[in-house]
Amino acid sequence: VIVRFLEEHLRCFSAASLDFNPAHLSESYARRTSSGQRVVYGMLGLLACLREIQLPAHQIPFELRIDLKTPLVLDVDYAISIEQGDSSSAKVMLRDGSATMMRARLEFHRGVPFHANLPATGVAPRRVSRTLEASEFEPMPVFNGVYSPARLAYQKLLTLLRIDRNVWGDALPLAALCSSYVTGMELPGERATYSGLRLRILRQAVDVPFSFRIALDSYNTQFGLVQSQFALRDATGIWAEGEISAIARPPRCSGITAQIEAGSGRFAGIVALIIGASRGLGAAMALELVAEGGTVVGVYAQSQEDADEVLATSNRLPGRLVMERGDASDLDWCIALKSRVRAEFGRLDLLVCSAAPAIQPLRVEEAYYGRIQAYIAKGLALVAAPLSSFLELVSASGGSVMVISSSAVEEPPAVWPHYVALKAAVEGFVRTAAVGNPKVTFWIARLGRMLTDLSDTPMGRLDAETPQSVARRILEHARGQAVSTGVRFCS
Amino acid sequence: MDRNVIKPRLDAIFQDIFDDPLLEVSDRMMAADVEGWDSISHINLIVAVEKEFKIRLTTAEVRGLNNVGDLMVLISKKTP
Repeated sequence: VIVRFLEEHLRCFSAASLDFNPAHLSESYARRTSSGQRVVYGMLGLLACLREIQLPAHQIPFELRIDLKTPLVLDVDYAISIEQGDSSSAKVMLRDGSATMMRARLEFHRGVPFHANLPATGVAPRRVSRTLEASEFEPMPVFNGVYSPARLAYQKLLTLLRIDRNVWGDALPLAALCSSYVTGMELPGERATYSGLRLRILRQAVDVPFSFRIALDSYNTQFGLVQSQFALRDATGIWAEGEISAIARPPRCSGITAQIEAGSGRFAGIVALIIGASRGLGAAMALELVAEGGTVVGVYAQSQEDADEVLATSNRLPGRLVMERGDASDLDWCIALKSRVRAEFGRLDLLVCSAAPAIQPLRVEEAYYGRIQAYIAKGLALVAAPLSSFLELVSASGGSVMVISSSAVEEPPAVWPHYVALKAAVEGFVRTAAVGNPKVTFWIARLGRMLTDLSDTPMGRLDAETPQSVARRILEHARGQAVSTGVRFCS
Repeated sequence: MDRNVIKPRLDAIFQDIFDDPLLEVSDRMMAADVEGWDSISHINLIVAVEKEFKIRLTTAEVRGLNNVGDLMVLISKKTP
């Protein structure tokens, strides 16, 4: 059985759960996270599977364990698999190809489903996610509040997910929704990635609104793992309790936060065009060039806030930065930009291709083929279109082209077939371009682990080099006049 | 700490993390050998080991682990 999450699922779930965490709802926020795109609520993944479980007669769920292995994303077909060995439990998995995205186990016992009398208006303490700094985990925070979904929003969600209230009752969905709320809005709040829940439902009959309590149990500073105790209570007492695990992403560290000072003018007189200049390495290279007196045309596609931030930082530096928003994979757009560059600057000394689509883990399997194909096509166009268009300008000034590749080309990670294929294709394209353009020096930068928005995960962060440091190092190669032609590699 | 003491406690951690009551660790066991041993599980595993044995594992130590045998040696070195 296949399930595909759409915009409507996110809207309905947020309206019912009152979990408005921006990782699910804001494109611009999500682009700055390691997913590079909005992710689906973990509890939505679970609830979407319930319709496939044959709940035995007169049985009701009283215990749930869920492990959210990898965030689900929109518009991907996930396979639901259910194992029901006996009448007392069911194992549920959501898979993407051979990868398990979510695993859950439900335990049942004898009981009667209960319909809660939900209020017309939803009740929750917060409309905006709490933002906790690492130091705020020290005093072991505890958050309490009163909670209930709104009646219509709740019913709409259950209808969308085809969950029969007469079979499942309300205790499990209410606890799942509240756990999503407390994780995404309270603890750890905005930076949460929900990773697991162990829930015990002590009784089915629930008065709403009810109160919640979430108390920090432990916080691991190395990985940002937040483990909390969670309890739901109504007038009669606690009706559900459990433990929640989440990863708290650290504050964004790959933005343009480094203190960039004016240099000695090493790039004065240079005109550079950087594709992908609003974030990560491209932004760092743009600012490094401007700090050294260069003139930079920075191209970005979507990240307006980041582009504004880069531009604002550049204003206090001696060089000049012009930001251009557009799709560099579109040849017509590149041709139009070339006319503007030629008219305004009359030359182009350096072309840097630093843009690539966000990397999601994919595998060499049928389920991923379409995504791999689309990734390579888009990523290659982000290099091939600007190179096809701007190479004549670079050649006329005897300048350089620098294309960002990866050390993954030499040591391919198992879940990056699309990325490795893209970078290998890009390198091949550049090497071929070099054959026909002897006046241009081509650089292929095979870079290692670097800390950007897209690699900012608990494991990816370990030992990663900052974009500023990498930019400074590899730009040394492009300084001044070309010393030789052909393709050269740097790392 | 002796590995005969470490192993059953590590078995219990693995059984809990991977929700498999029959799972038993071995020296050569690696992530690829256990269904669901991904980066999130790895973090849960390391944090659970730190709690159970009351030790801290550094970034370099975590990155240097190639299999469960390495983890047992590390725990053994860090516990009295």
